[in-house]
Amino acid sequence: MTEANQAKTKIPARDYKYGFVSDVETDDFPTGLSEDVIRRISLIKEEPEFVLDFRLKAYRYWLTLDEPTWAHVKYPPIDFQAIRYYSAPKKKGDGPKSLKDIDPELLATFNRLGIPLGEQQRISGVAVDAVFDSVSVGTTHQEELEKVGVIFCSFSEALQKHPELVRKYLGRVVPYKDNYYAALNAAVFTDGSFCYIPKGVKCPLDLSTYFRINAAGTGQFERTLVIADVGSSVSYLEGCTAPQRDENQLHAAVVELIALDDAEIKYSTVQNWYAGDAEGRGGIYNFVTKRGLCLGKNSHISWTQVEAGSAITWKYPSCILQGDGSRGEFFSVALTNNKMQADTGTKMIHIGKNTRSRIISKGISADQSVNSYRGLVKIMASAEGARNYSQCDSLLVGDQCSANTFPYIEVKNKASVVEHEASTSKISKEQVFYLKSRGIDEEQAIGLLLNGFCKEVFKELPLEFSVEAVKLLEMKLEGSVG
Amino acid sequence: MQRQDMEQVFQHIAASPWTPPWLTATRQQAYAQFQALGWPSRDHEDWRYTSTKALAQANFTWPSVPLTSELSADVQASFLADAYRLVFINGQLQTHLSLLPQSQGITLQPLELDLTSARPWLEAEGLSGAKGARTSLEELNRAFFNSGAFLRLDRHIKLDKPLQMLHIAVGEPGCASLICPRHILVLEDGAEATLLESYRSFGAGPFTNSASQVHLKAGARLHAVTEKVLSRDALHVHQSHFILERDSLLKTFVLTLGGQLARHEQTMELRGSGSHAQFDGLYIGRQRAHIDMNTTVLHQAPQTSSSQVYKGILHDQARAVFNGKINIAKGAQQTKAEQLNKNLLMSTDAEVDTKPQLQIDADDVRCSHGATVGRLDRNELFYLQSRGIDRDTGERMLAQAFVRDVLNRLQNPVLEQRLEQELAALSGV
Repeated sequence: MTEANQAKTKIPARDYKYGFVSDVETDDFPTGLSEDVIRRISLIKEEPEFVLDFRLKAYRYWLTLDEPTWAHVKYPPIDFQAIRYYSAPKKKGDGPKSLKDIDPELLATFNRLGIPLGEQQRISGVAVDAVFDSVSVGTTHQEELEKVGVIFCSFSEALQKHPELVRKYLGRVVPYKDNYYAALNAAVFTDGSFCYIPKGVKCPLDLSTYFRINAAGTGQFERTLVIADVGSSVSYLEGCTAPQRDENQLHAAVVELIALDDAEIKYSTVQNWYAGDAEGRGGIYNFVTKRGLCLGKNSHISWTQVEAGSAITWKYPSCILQGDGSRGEFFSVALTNNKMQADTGTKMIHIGKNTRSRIISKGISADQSVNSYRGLVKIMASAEGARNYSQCDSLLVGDQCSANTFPYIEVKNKASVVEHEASTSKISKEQVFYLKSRGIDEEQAIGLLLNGFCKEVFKELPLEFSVEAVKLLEMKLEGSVG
Repeated sequence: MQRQDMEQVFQHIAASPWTPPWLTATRQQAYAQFQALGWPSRDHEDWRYTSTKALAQANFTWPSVPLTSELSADVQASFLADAYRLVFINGQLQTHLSLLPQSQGITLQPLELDLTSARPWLEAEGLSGAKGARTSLEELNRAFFNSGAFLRLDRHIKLDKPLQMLHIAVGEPGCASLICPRHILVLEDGAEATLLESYRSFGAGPFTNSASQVHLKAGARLHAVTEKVLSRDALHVHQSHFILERDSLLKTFVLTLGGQLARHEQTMELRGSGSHAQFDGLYIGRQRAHIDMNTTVLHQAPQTSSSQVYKGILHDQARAVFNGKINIAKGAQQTKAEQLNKNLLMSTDAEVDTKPQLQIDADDVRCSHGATVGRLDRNELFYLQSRGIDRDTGERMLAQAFVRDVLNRLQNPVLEQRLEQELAALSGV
């Protein structure tokens, strides 16, 4: 047996590390969706009137829509009546007044995920909002942030304390009419994170949301809203995991970013939802709408994502470049293995003068997975001097996988330059041979080459994430290359 | 979709010698299919950027054949020197202007009114056979075809001169004559040919819906150039399907100048290993021209390769669409495919929508695509101006340089020269 064959027959990928279930008592709604359910969610959260209006409008609109079918993914139809739209850990007494009152089982869960919420062992330099099923269970470092005027809290809290800000920006970037899942989310969103950076403030900490789906049969519908006021800047991180189950669970989130004049938002995601087993059973359906609006002059929004989980990913973090001189960036590594399907990419809509955008997308598909890049670059007639550069590279590992590229380029302004490049190839035998000849074993050699392939994206990630991303990649591909 | 004008044209063709009894059912079935499908709408991914409104609103008529003497100068001017030639005016073969090869091993049959001689090959090459789902425009051609030719080269036969198929379309004000040419080409093992398909339109909006099927057997080689010089109101859609068997070689080039709607669909099916397809194109739009290039290459066997370069220059309010698909099937290993689309916008109101796509189901492949949209480099223009060249001339020089490299890819002196002449005379590039 040759060395290459040995590598192939080795036990495939390590088990999903975050597949455990936490035994937490929960308040659940029965499954099903109706106006009643929406009113109940709104009531539990003691929401202002305008939010309920927004939800109901969205729900009625959602009812008129058909599920989209254009993405290059296949899955059985989703029964929206079989999903539980609300599941929250039971509150003790009047609910936690501070982090100390949080259910120890919950704290333990987040500790196991490597996200300590306890006062002593918090990750220094990162403030975390932890979302467990339908609600946010705790936000760290709030006091420290308050000193500089940064508001960072759960979405429910923001609705209570800062309704005027939420009202001004809710649905501004992703209106409820945007698409099927955005409408569904607008109707039933249960929590999420809210962040406001005031004028001229450079956020002293990295902000972070950690999403965890725990309960069976639930969907997670959260909404994140980040507003960077004039001249401010913030770096935002997002992580996701879920237990290992045989059923498919739906995660339909909405993320809205707004950058005013000279503001800068950097949004990084490491997505590692449970992806199903090798036969494609179970896993999360990750149908997410993420969009940033560069509203002000010279504003800057940058999306960085490492997509390594989910049975199906359907996600296009986008930038609307409205302010003159604004800048949008998208850096992505999407890894699929086993029977995962990913249809991901970005949209860059150039409206303002001298707007610039850059897209770097790296897709790796292994085993029997399907990995597609889908992107739109649109230069409106008003976008004098706009500039875009896109690069989409795909790497194929094994002869059963597919890699697709579907870029759309629409240019209505002659004083603009748009360039798109894409390539597809496999790991070159020559390169592996060279590394082996220098005494590096095959697995390490492949690891090195993969790292090199993704380098441009990894270097955009904040430090902690970049280490995690490299490990994640190596772990996922263990046994499938060679 | 029931339309009076189209119904009349159909009744006309159904009652004419163009519909012998053995063809009646085929035409009727295709016509019914077309009516069921309707004109392609923008909801269809392949028609996302192209509206068929002009087609839906046109008033179709059966083409009449104008007096050739009025046209003869224009027709003569379009001849390719030293070549075999078939000349069609509004779909009708002009025998006195045509020149057919007589040597052995070459079968060239223009479609004639009673279709008797054409029956065997029309039946053999999938006119009646169901080959997957047809698009509505294919059905339209099947229902209405009233022009075209069949060419077959026997094994190892080389066509000694290029063959030109010249289609002249003359429109009448207020109506769109419906011209549907249908070509079938079969090159047996090792045969070789050079082909020039020319479309010229004059006057108000004739509608040409052309379909061709080309089959290259093992080791066959074909150079095929399509040139379309269309009038401002002309409506032109074109679908060609190429099948490449083992070790065959295909080089095509599509030149499109103008047209209210000019759409060219090409499908390259690389069925045999070792086959290679190179398909290039150049389009230049002025005024309100809408040019839509649609290519699909299907790599179905290992060790196949394809390469495509499409370039466009858009002036005034012209709009161009490029849709390019590269599809590599499972098992088509050691495949190489490349695609490039470059566009120059010369005016503020021009628009380009480009959509290059890769769909890859095999791992041992090398694929790439690229697309650019931009304007002439201002530094280059400034340099030329600083050497005393006026702006207009400078722009033209840079545009010429932009198109030259794609023309050179043909590597066929006769056809290259022809295209250069056309470009110089008609587009100033």
